[in-house]
Amino acid sequence: MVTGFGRRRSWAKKGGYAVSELIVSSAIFCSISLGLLMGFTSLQRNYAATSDFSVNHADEMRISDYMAMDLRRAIAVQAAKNDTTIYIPAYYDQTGSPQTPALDGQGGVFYGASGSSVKIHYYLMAGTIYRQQDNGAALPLAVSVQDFVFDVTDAGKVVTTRITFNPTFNSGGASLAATTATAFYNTTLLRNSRTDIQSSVY
Amino acid sequence: MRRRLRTDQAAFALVECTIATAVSALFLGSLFLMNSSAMGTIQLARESACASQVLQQRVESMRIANWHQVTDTNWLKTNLLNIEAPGASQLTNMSETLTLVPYGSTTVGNTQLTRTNGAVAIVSSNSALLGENAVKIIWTVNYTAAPNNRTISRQIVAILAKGGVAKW
Repeated sequence: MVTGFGRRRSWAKKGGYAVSELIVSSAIFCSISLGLLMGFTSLQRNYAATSDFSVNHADEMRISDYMAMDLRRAIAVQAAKNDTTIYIPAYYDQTGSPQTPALDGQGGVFYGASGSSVKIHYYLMAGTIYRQQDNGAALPLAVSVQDFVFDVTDAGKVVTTRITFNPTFNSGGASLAATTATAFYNTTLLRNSRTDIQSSVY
Repeated sequence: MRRRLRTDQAAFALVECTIATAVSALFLGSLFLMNSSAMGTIQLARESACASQVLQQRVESMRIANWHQVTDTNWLKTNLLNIEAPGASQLTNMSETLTLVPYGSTTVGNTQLTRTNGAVAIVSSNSALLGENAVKIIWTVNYTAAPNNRTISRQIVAILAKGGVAKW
């Protein structure tokens, strides 16, 4: 009898966890799991936002470079938000061969037919920014950029471009300050004499 | 025999659990650190690009000036350095230094201006630059940036000549 009682006590010591222990351990497990889940979700979203930022920043620089290249040789500019038209001399003919400049008799030169120019159109349509030369096929410069805004400020001899996008770090949407912080500027001096501004003298 | 069987089926020991937790914590810690580091690198790249665009715009703004203006210290102070370049507000503690050095001649003496916290100061002035055929322009931008708020310096050098500009 004594032996049996002792045996039962020994079994009781080797028994499973009590309900209170289970509750406490479950609570700890749940809180740690929740923390891990939130941490991983945060990391994943951060990675996506960072990748998005890098790609958009590279897009900004590429668009800015294209526009600066055309603005440097521009003879006329029609600036509007997400829709800018630049006219450049016809340096090349239809076959892509360089044209010989001819004197216009007023201290300037022209390429091809007198008064001719090449129209270059930058525009944002359906989330893509295009560069179209005359009536040729539009070249997509950046895709999935529906949140981009490119603005051209025409100051006569100097034209400033400003490109922004909405970063996705904040799930509630980008604040104005966050969007402003993505601004990429480029100030370009128009090397050629402008034909759309009479006072443009170089 | 029965007792040994029960021992074999026992759960993990506290030591094993502690080690597993430590390994997990180390892994997660590394992951977050790596993420933080990547963010810092992107910030660094963004600020570097920003400094470059500031310098590009500064040199571009000098192209518009004629030779009298370029070599005039007061004109530079009141027309170029009086306002910050677009995008410069994204840089922390930014300061600019513009130095004009006679190029291709034996003339001695530089013109130097600084812009710090919006205030422009003339460090030195050499009016003899007007008689030069070319000057070397050294434009430096200093700012503090991640990581650890270090002072970063970016510089552009251009040769400006009467009648044209040639980047160096």
